[in-house]
Amino acid sequence: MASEKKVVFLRSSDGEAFEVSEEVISAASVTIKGMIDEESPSRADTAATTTLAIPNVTAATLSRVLHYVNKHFDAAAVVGRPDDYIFCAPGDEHPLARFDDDFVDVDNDTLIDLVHAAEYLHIKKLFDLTCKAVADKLKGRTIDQIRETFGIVNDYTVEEEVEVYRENSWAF
Amino acid sequence: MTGVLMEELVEEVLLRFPPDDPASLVRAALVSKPWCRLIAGRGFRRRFRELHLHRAAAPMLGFICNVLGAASARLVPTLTTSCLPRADHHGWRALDSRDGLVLLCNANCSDIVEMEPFDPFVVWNPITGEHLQLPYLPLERCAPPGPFFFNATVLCAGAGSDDDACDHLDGSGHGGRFLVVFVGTYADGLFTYVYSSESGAWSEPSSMADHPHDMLDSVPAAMVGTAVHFMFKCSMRMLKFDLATRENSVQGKLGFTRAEDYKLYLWSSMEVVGGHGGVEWTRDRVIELNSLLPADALLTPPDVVGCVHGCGVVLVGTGDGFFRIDLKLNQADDDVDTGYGHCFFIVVPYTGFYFPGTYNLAYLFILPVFRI
Repeated sequence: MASEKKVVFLRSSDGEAFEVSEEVISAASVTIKGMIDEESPSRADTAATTTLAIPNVTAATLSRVLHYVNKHFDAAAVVGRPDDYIFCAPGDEHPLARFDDDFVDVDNDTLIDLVHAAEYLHIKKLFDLTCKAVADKLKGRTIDQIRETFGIVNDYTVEEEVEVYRENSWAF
Repeated sequence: MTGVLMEELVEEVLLRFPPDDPASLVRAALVSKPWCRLIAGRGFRRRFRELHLHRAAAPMLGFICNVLGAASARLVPTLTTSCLPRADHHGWRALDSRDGLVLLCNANCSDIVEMEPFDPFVVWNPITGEHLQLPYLPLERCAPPGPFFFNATVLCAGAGSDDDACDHLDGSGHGGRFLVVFVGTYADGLFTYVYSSESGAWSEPSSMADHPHDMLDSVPAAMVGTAVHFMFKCSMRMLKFDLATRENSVQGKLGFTRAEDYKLYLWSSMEVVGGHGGVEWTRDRVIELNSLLPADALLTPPDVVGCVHGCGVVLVGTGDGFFRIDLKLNQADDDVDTGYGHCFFIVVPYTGFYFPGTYNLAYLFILPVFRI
């Protein structure tokens, strides 16, 4: 067997192909690992590289996701403490905490796309990170700002709204 | 779909709201009815608790300071939780707080009383503002007239059972039902009563044949597994009351923390085998307060004034307010302004998960689903 690392190509919804190490992406994404496992029998005897279609993720998002994946799941690049570092206490620095902060410091639409991609590709750490980032964005906003951010229509009647305000008057 | 969060992912985002900033969850509940329904649901509350408990104990929403001299219990909210208004209970002291409820005791009752009839307890829910006066304790059933020492604690009605569905950390689980465990020691005996809010009455007393020959201390009780542990004053032992079996026993093994000479000492003890209750103490750790606290706080020697159930946090009172010291992280947190300087003697932390008051609305929303 060749010692050279196997790679796969991921084709985004808008047709762009990205190269990634099979080992790294398999460790990161349950969905892609499943796709690769399904493909394996047919590709064992061919030298051709696999290209997997990722129909739900655009090139812009996919390239960000792969940047994250290479940083977090490439065994050569990551040292120790792989789990749950996003819950580290403030001041308890994880080597990748800074990277993560910068990674999710993006506009709203980009962040939501990342949440959806992480969910579809089943990358738990990225899903935790991006959901928490959305929560952090929302927590300081007013009710109207949250509705605006997500295009949500207020479906409360005036009476119902008054009731919730009354029960929680301290929060306003 | 850019910018629009898929509906099934809304829950995932809301679950990651900070538990120590409950107002943010209230605002979210007001965004739309589906969001409100989600936040009001039991499943959400359970997942929220699990996710954040995985990280740490329930957040501290505030402190109840028993103020020296003023015979008053003052609730001081921590900075991020405006859900708890600063509140004074004159003529009361806080004995303990757990699962979102506070047990107050008439300040005229010191820990040794000779009072008949005996009804000094009120259970207070700072989140809803409810107060419930507990009925007279039928002491004549077990204790002879005369002085006795007592201590008591409050727990959610689900404590001590294996009920996974218990949401007791927000003080509203089991429909807000709770238990109060009362223990008294007198010259020849020891007795325990349990009040259940469900029956609205005190249980029959259970007593212990083997008297520990000690008096109860008034420091807040500790909950370990299904048992409540009350400290004794002199023998450095504990009374263990198991909620599941309703049995008392004396335990010799415990740990405690004390401050001396600007140092925090952590001790633990083991019962000496065959030693008739004798214990052997070992000093596990010494923490230098000089390196943790600012110089202003160290003008007078600090003292331990309380600890937070289940998360290794000790509250240290200083001349400059009090500080939270995390024993695991070896870290001191900002002091909290009590408005009373350092004139308090026991500080009872108030912890829990606060969920928005959506009960009425949730009922309205959820009911039609069941009708289908």
